[in-house]
Amino acid sequence: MTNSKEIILQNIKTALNVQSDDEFSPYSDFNNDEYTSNENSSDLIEEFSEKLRAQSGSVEIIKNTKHLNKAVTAIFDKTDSKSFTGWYTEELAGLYKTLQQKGFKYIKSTRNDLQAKCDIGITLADYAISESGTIVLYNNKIKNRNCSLIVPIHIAILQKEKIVKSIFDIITTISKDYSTLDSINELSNCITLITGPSRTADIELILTLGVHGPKELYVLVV
Amino acid sequence: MLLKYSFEEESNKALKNKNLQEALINTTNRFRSARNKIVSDSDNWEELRQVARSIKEHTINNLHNYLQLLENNIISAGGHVHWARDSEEACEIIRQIAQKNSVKKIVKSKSMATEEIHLNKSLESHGYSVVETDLGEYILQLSGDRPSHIIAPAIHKTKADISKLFSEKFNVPEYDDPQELTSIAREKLRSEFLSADMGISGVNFAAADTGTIAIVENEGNARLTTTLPKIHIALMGIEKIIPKFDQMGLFLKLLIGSATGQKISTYVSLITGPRKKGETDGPKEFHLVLLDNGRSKIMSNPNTRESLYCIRCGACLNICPVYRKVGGHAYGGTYSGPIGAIINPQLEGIDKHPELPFASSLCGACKDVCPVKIDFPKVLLDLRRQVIENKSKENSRAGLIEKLSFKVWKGINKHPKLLQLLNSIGYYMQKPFIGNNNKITSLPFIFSRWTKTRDLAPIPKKSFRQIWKERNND
Repeated sequence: MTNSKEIILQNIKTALNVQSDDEFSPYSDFNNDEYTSNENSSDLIEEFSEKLRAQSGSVEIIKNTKHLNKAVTAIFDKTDSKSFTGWYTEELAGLYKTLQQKGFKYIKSTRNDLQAKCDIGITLADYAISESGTIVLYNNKIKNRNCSLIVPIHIAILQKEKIVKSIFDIITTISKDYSTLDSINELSNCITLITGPSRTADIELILTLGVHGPKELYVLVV
Repeated sequence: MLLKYSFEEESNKALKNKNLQEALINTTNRFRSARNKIVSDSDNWEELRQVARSIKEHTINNLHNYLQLLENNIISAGGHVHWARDSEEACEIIRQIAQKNSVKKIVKSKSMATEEIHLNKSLESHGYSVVETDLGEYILQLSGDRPSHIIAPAIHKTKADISKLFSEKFNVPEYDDPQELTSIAREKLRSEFLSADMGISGVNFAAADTGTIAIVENEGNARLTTTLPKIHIALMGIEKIIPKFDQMGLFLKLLIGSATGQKISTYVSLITGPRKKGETDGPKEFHLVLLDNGRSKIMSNPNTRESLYCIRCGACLNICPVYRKVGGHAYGGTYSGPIGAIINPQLEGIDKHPELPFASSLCGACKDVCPVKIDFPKVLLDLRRQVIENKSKENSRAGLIEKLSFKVWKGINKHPKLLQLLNSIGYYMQKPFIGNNNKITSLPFIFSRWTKTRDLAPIPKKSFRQIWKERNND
């Protein structure tokens, strides 16, 4: 295998007519920061909601925690959901307690097959992008991937100060978040950008929702 | 598989296929208008294209350095990196990983690189069960068919075709509703995901400085492929690399906008290595397979090197007047449309695809929409030159006739008097060949090849020079 690597690298160098290895200077004419807008998050809530709704996602602006619990319960009732799974973040513990008190079943197991049977998955979005109506999740130990993936309904809670303008802003934000760490991997080995429910148009270009991922996405902005 | 293939024959077949003709126009129009909207809504699209091109140019010119950097960073994130010189080696590497882990079932998300190396065939011949999970690819796999568009692979299938296919394969009633058909596929594929031991994906971009790969999709099947099975293998052509994570936003915007005209796809996954200790999902092993398969050879020709800047968006297919009529199958290789016309001959050998460089009117619409500004006409012309050179090597007489013809042509054009004389003679001689549409519709002898598929404008009574002279005399 080492052999193939050497051969490929040698072929490339021969093709490029590279004489020595030490003439490499990294590309420096692009700086992502020049494309960021740094707009104030509170000015972006409206755009975020509008864009996500255009992608068949639901958005609700919530005043406080009490209202949040109510809004989540309402989604359970509306969709006739009985069970849920969710991220283990402390911020969500109170919500889970309320839901359990209301009689909804909390599935703590992280086994794929058991989580797949839950009606709803709950997550706490790390960021959002207003221009495209996207939520951004840093998956890690307590924030697993399944909760936004193998459940039919995904509810994400988003703090209103976490909204950035564009894809350029989010790349800068992610870069800042891992700049104090050893690598991006420390932050999350799987950062997921989600814009609406799963969709396809593979059959005669007709849009259908929920082909693989969640069929419904609710974002509650607190 | 590709031995007995002719662009001309396949094109003729496609032109007679009414469903395909309709699907091609609908699909390409839909993608085009969505892309145009993204471009017109953006205030700096041209600038982004220019900067993306220069990043690609720099990357390819330093590819050996960036590949080494990428390998280092994937390894420090806990992943494995494999290098494959060609298709056979790439398939062998993937088979060995499967064998070592006693894998039985493999799920796959959409990847052109895996099509290029005929991975499914190789894995299946060794007893592995391989399931395509992108809805379009799944439909093609069930019906034993090939992709006809890089983004929408099953556009040539009608609702009725798919309904019949599902009914036969799954013993269900024939549903005419895409939503019903999609639900059936969801259920079938979900159980495949939950029981698969290995997931294979492609790569849209790999950032060398962090070891992060980006995967773009709308369905969520790539997320499932890279999350549920205990092993994830990602296969990428060596040219898919970008220097820095910082450039990811730029390339994602250009790729998605050019491909489907979305601001962003439903899902974008930024993956750096396997799951870490204490995590409850994600693959335990992550393997990246770096595929050369002719790419380093492409680099040796500075005239065609830019073929490797391609980010596989498919915008050139949607705009191409040739692709829009003949569809993807006519290109007889992994890639179709203008990018297929330049990449297939270079990857699989120009002797295998001598017709493809000519499957273009050189109108340059592809160059205008390309997010990394590949100069398609320039590359096509270089490939045409190679085809002709090969031909004259093989058959010196054919080359001689062509060379001689051009010499005569040049001679005539250099002498205005002679040209005028021949024009006048030609004007009268052409009369028997002019059809009802006032064009030359059929010519005899070797010239018949020209008029077989197109008409020729007739020689006018007066030449431009004559008209010019008369006007100036007035």
